[in-house]
Amino acid sequence: MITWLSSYDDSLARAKREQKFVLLDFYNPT
Amino acid sequence: MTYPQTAVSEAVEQYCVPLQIDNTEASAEALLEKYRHIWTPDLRILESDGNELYRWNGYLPPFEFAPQFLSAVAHANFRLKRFNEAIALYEDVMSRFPTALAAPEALYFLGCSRYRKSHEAGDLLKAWHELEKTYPTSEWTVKQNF
Repeated sequence: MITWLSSYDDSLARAKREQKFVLLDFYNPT
Repeated sequence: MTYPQTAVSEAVEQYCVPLQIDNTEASAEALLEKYRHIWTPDLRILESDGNELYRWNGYLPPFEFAPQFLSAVAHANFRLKRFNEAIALYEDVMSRFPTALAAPEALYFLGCSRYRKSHEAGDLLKAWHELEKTYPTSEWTVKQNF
């Protein structure tokens, strides 16, 4: 299972630290 | 649902920090505007500065999502001129998912990546001839046919 982040800024920071990309998934829960 | 599949989740975690944004939340409005989000599913590959490197829309089952995702990461690397990484990922897609919807595009850009690395026209043409032979009705065959 993927552990999704919900904070854009935290995701970018983690991507920079870990030298990864960000997979951004815009979704509609309804 | 695509994401619980182990192969998909492992691939995502290996190359990306996974971020989900609920497009009904008021707090998401600035991001929706920044990325011009209009419809779901809507997936982007971003650099760590937020710059978008690849995008795709529409639902994909796991056996199509994995090759699409790997191709997207390959393309991100290609655009960053990380040709070795791009080539390895495109070759992986072609090896493991040759019948995937993403395969023709992957083969097209595999040729491009090899050419950008080697500057040898033969590297491009070899991949594009294979593209034409293997996926004759693909839009990517049309795009290389000049």
